[in-house]
Amino acid sequence: MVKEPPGFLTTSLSICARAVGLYACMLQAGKGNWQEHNRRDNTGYRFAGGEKTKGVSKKQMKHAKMLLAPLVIAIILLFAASSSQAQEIAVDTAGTETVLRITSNPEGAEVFINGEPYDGVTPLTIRGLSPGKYLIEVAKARYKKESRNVEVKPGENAVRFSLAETALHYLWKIAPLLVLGAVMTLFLTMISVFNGIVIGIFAGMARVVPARLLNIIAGAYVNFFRGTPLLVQIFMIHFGLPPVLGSLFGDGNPIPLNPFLSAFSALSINSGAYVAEIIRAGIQSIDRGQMEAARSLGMSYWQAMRHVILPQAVKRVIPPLGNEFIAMLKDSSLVSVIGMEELVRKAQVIVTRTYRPTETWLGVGLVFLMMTLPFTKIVTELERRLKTSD
Amino acid sequence: MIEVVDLHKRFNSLHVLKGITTHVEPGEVVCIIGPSGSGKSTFLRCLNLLEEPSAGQIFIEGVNILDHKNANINEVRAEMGMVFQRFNLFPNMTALQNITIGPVQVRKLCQEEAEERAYTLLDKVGLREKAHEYPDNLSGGQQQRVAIARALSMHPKAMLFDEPTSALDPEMIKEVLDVMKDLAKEGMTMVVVSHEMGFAREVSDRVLFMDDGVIVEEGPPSQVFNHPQNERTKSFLSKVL
Repeated sequence: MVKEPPGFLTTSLSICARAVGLYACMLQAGKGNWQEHNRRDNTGYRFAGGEKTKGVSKKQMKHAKMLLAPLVIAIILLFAASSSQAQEIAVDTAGTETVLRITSNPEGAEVFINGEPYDGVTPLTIRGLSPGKYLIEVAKARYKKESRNVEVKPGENAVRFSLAETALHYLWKIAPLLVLGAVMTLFLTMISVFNGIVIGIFAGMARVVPARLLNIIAGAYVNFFRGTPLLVQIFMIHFGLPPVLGSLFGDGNPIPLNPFLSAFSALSINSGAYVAEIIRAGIQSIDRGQMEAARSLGMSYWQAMRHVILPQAVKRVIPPLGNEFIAMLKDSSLVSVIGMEELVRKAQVIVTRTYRPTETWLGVGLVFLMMTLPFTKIVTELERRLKTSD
Repeated sequence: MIEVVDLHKRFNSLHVLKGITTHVEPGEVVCIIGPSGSGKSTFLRCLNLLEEPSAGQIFIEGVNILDHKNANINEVRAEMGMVFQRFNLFPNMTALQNITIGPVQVRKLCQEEAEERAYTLLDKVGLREKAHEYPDNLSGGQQQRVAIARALSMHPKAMLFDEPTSALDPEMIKEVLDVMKDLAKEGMTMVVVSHEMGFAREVSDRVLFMDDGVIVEEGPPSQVFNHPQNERTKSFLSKVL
């Protein structure tokens, strides 16, 4: 219809039809039927005309009426003759009008245009906006407000907002993942310290028993694992051991270790060295007279150890063991470097996806604190109780 | 009963015992006196091998306890009750448990029998009502009496006392010495290192005066205290009496 051969009649008809179309449009607006225009929105979102919109359209309608009044009678005839044609022209003109599509991720955000709230939530298609500059803002509960200056041109305009969660909401959203990581951290720490205690009891005793060879072996073990960085020990086990295992038990090709096995062995062996020192100190802190008294009764070295020395040493060893647990809880974060999915590794994965390091690492810190604080309390309480009973 | 022949003890370069030769008869109470650092305690501790002698021989009832092939060190110690200057009670056990642990663990007595024996011993030292107290709740004198009961629980053939009253307040010394006197009267063989000259004079059958790692003078208390022969004995006694 648009590309009709130009002619006076057609031109005038066309102009009239447009005016009628606009008038009809205004009338409809006055009835509060804006939604009719948006029926074709593929989003399925509909919105009813609010008070503000109504007010504006009523004003426009008034102006239109005044402008169009002289034409009305003449046009009515034409309108009656070609009402169907007028309708088509109206649709056609709508196609070339100014359209602004506002979408956001996530959807459902409220829209503000030049600071005024606009009815409806994203995704939103606004028609009938006059071209020009607008300040468009979108806001959604628990998301940061986004605003942008948009130059609306005649025709199709699209604005896309990507909304970021507020820090609290973000933390709340990643909390399950962090908790999952924390559970792994806690699990890894618990089994490592448990193994460390088993290793440490033997190594610690081996340092104090009157047997030179055992003293030397246990001393070398303790000094090596206390004197080298845990990170290096993790690398030695995870990357250094596979070739050795391969040449010993395989066909010469490295036998890769899975990260859990490496992590848990490295932490256990490292913890064992520290626990050994705690046990040794605990045993040596018991007055020499206790061993002498026990031996003077005819007890063997082991009987004296078992019935006299160790029961007393255990009490003194419990608080430092609690501290060892706390230290191991924190040090276990190092196994993230070999891809063990504990708390820190989980956080690294989250950050690469969300690009929000500040909140993520703060969250990780808080989760660690939530784990260590109760243990610190328990250790303090144990120390207090043991002191009073000593 | 105890025969010591040319006993030497060295701590690295320090020569503490320089050839001790003496003997203790069954039922005899021997007091060892002498200045600090003269080797009295070391000598006593050698008798139950808490210190390993460097040279010499110790025979107990004819068995050389330094010959590890023939003598089990634990059995030797079980036969020699030892009382320490600092009591050395086991703080994690009650008085009763302190007294029963030796018989139960070493003599393999059943718990009931050990406890029965322990109560008899507690009666002897006058502390039956403290049976279930922990050492920390006992006075020094009471702790030392429990320690004596503990040593006696093994039915030792001899008792060694290493300055048993030195760590006690003066008012508590008597209660411990009284227990020791009772023991002496019962005919227990005792070797006592002590600064209690009154006790030595009154109870002992023989006094050894040690100085600088050797026995300078020995004899009945009346002789050593009243008519010391050696100059060093004289000068020591003139200071302490």
